[in-house]
Amino acid sequence: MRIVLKTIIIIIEFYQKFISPLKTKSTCRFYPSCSTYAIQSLNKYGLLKGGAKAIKRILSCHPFHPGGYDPVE
Amino acid sequence: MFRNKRLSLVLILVVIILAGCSTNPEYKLNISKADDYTGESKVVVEPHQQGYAQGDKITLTAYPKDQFKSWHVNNMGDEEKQDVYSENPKEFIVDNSKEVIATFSDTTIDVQFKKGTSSGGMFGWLGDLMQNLLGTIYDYTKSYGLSIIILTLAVKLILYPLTHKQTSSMKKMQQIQPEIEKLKEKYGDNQQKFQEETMKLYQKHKINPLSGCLPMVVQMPILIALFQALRGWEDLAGKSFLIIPDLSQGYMPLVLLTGVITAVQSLLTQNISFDDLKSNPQKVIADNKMALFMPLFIIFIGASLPAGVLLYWFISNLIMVIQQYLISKEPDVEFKEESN
Repeated sequence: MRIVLKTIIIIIEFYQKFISPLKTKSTCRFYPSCSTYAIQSLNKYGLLKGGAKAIKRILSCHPFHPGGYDPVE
Repeated sequence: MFRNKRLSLVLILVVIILAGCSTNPEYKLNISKADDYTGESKVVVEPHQQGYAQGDKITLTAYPKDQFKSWHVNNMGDEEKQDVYSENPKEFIVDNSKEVIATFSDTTIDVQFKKGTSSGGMFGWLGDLMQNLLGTIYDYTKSYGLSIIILTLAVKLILYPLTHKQTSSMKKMQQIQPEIEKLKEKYGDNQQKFQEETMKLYQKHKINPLSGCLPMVVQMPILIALFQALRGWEDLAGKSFLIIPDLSQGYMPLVLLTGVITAVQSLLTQNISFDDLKSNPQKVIADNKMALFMPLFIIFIGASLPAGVLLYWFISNLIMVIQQYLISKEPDVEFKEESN
């Protein structure tokens, strides 16, 4: 479980460092961004609950949701 | 100041990574004689192996040599062209699906070069699904190019509500631009704080110029599937469309066109109007070097993609430009400041 969690976080960090900058500007409608949010919630709530929160966040990151400031609680 | 659609780049990177993971197409040779033939004629393949890679050279020898007449080569997807050779043995290059027919005085023997169907990679099934879908559309249109365009339109139509809402909020962005400049001065050194405050400002005005992560995540599988489907797809080989000679191969002019349309699109998202672009193109280019990086990148990788994928990309960006143009023609929308 621990290893899976770590691997997922490393993949997200890889995305943030190398893939996301190529967009030159962010796409995310929230602060912190979906990827940062995912890392934070995974660290705080673990794989299942944290992962579910991250997925819920990505699902609400679309133009019909106002977006804005939404930290991990 | 915020550019919205930088997703395509991410999509393409994913595509490249996946392409690196999957194997080269493998060819198999299938030798078949007429069912009722009992004579001695045969074709020997050297080297004899289970499968052949793209570009491998093989030698076909027909025995008995005195009964052999000629080789007829039919390239799949190119019905009219038939090459005839009379030398024996004859060397062939395994480069596409084709059929070599050895004609003897008493019979013919078929040697079929068949591309293996296993496209490999963990998204192979997505490619199969896309091939089926395109195949279904093809039954009606009889043109793969048209099928890809119809597919693009369908995807855009499904995503239309999302993109429309987002493009119109980009227009409202111009109105709060002064406030963002103020925030930039205040938190210039602290990028995180600046982002946080900008988000709060958007929330206050109930606008948001960013497209969001969900549309990006939704569009990703489509592009992967299309790439998987078109790469090395037998049915597509040699199929031309308008100016494109072969949808399954790279095609430079289309790559350049896609680069240009992406440049226009990314300049437009930065609140540069068509009029600016017409009146002073040099200045616009000098001010937006970063916006031009992406099109260059597209040209760089686009060269190795099947033209069909670029066709999707091109049409997709073209629709986006048209959409932005139409919205910029709409009268200004007044927005109310909400307090919360």
